[in-house]
Amino acid sequence: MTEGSRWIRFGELDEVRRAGRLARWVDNQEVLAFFQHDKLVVMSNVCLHKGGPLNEGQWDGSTVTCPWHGWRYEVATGKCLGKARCSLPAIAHKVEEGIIHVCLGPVQ
Amino acid sequence: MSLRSLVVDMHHDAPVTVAEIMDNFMDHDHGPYLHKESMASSEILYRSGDTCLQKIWRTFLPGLSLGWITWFQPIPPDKVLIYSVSTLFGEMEILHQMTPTKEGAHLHSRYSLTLNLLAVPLKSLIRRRIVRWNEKLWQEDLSLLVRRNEMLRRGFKDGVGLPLARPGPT
Repeated sequence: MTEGSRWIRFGELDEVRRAGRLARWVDNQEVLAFFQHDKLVVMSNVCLHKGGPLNEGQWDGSTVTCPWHGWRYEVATGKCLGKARCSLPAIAHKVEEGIIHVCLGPVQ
Repeated sequence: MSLRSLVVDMHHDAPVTVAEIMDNFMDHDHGPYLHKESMASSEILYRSGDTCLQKIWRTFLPGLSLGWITWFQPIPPDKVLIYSVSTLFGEMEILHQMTPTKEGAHLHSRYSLTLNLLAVPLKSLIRRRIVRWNEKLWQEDLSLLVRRNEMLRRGFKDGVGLPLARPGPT
């Protein structure tokens, strides 16, 4: 964990189960949580290209395509699959008593 | 007004600036994604700066898309002229004009068509489709404009993303 980072409550596991995909602002990041093959995945919901909402994009299981301009990302790694060599910022998470907490790094 | 003429005026307001709406008009790449239901596909045939020539397949009725050759000409700082030709329908000029308002900006879009004779009997249907098409495109664009405005306000940089959260106690 990066020095200066902290755990912030994101929401309940049950909320994610009910919503399918749950996007919510945590500090200055829009965080997306969902289940993939029964495993909780937490990632940034903001496309790096122009800021499009990935939760509204096209999902095909292993990849998501941004609904604004079609940038594609690998869901497992957040890696952009297009020409741009970039990745969504990693968002660490932990679950305690059914509550999801996320950890966002400090401003560099 | 001649039998072949059709003019449709549409008005919208947005809580963003004229410049932000202009930026969205000059973003030629979002059409096939954000507007995928209205534009079955689009292909940029020529591009120079913010001007471009496109072939756009617009969805006229469910399952029926029609190709339009479209010239897209921004007229900074507050106008965009789009001139389209379709072999079936004729010519269509769309003039988008933006004006600042207290809450953001107002967009006036004037669709001026010169229909082919064969399309004249479809005039009222075409008018209804333009109104519906414009409303749908606008709602899609508005959601992008509002979110993008919010992103920029939060410090989003294109190709980089949002700045990370402020550090706090562990």
